[in-house]
Amino acid sequence: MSSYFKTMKLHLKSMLEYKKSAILSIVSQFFIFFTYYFSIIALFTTFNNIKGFTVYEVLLNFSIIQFGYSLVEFMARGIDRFDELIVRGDYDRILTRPRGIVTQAMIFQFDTFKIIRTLQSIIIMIIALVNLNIKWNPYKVFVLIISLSSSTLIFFGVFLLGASYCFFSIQGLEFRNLITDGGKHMAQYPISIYKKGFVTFFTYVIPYALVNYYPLLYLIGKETNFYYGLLPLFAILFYIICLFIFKLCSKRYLSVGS
Amino acid sequence: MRSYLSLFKIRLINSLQYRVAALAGMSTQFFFGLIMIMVYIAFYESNPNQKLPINIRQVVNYIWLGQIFFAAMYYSEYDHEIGKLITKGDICYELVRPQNIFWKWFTQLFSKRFSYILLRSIPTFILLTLIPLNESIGFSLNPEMIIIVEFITSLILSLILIVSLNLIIHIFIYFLMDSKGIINFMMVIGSLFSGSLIPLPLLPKIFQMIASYLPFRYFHDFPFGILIGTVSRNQIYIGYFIQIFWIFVVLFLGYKLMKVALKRIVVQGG
Repeated sequence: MSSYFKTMKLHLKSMLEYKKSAILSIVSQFFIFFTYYFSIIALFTTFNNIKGFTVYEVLLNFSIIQFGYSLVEFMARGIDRFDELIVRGDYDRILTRPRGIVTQAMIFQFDTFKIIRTLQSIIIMIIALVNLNIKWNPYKVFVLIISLSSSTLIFFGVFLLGASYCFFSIQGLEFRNLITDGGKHMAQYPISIYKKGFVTFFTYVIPYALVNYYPLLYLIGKETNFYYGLLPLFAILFYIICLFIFKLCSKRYLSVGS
Repeated sequence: MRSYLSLFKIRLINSLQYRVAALAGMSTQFFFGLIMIMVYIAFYESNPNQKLPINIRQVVNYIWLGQIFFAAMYYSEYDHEIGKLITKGDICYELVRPQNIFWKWFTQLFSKRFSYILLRSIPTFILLTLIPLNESIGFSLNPEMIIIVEFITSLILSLILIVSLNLIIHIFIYFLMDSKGIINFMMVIGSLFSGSLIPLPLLPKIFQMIASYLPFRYFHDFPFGILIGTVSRNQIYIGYFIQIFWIFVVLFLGYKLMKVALKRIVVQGG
């Protein structure tokens, strides 16, 4: 694990060498992410609610899911680009090394500046929380913390699923992006605004709703049953399943030979 | 002139090779279009008594039009071939050729945009009419012939404007030697004020006002507005005039910038 953090530091240092490029990248990341929450805020100047949810409630929902996604993009870009590892034959090299496959896959690429998006989501979350009248207690703080952590864990799992698919084929990866990027996009808004089919899919199959929507309902008081606050913990189960699937699929790997 | 036409034809045939990537891109757009539509439907259903400048049918059609023409209207697309010429310095080989490099690049970029119409827009349109979507989320435009003609005129002008802007972006890359920053900036500003992020009639008034002074609304808001009815009859002809004005401005700026950029090459010698 320490090799992971060492590599991360190295990447960061090398990125900062090119100061002008680094500043441009930071500004770009800021502006692109800005359009995501700007859309929500702008629409709420015209409409005053969406299926009963107000602007700050939607922003809280948005910030939780975006936090997880951007953090995983920052930490584990290599897993998202797993197909490159296999195509280039670098995966064979990984197998020969004494460290874990997943850790090594994570470090082969870093998207350093995605952390800007994570920071922005935290700021949006704080703004949303300040403007919401949440009746805080220690349990609710706990719920918020596990929501953020589960959001990260769930995307890590989904990325691993995408990497598992790479052991079978490197065609058709755009469809994987539909679940990661498209799913994240959908989960920005409270999942209940969509048709029933989507709600079911994102609760039981790829459970994005469990990490932001249901905890949101509990935090803002729309649901008072305290079990709603524990739903994010299912992300741990989901992650374990994804990791297992990944390890299973990696056994199927036949080297291209070198 | 004939050399430019043959270049156009060659590039067009070349671009038509990329079919698999096109299919993948189309399905992604389709899905994102659906998500946007569902969000807007939820907004409209939640605020039934609100007076809005545009109704949900218009918004749905507008979004589908945006998806149909997504690739063709992608003004911040980075052409790797031209970019490499700039960043690697191979541009000097291009300058030795008898064609004017500005118009040569213009033709190259324009043929690419045009190929996207054939390769992406028309298939996406056919797909939309074939797939049985629930009528609340489906594409349901049925305009009169004259409106279609007016739309196509505006579309052609938009394409010229988009290519001109795209060309300026590449010339800026020559000055700044970094493509990401300029491209991202253009993407953000453009997506906001063209109406591709959110339909302009749904933006706060101040943004609509700023948008009316910028060329971006002629990418999405104006041509699609003709089809869905948010642009009134007399506004159409004023719109054409403004589009042509912007084309001249942008092309003029681009040409001048190119001259300055080229002088730099000569000065650095070699």
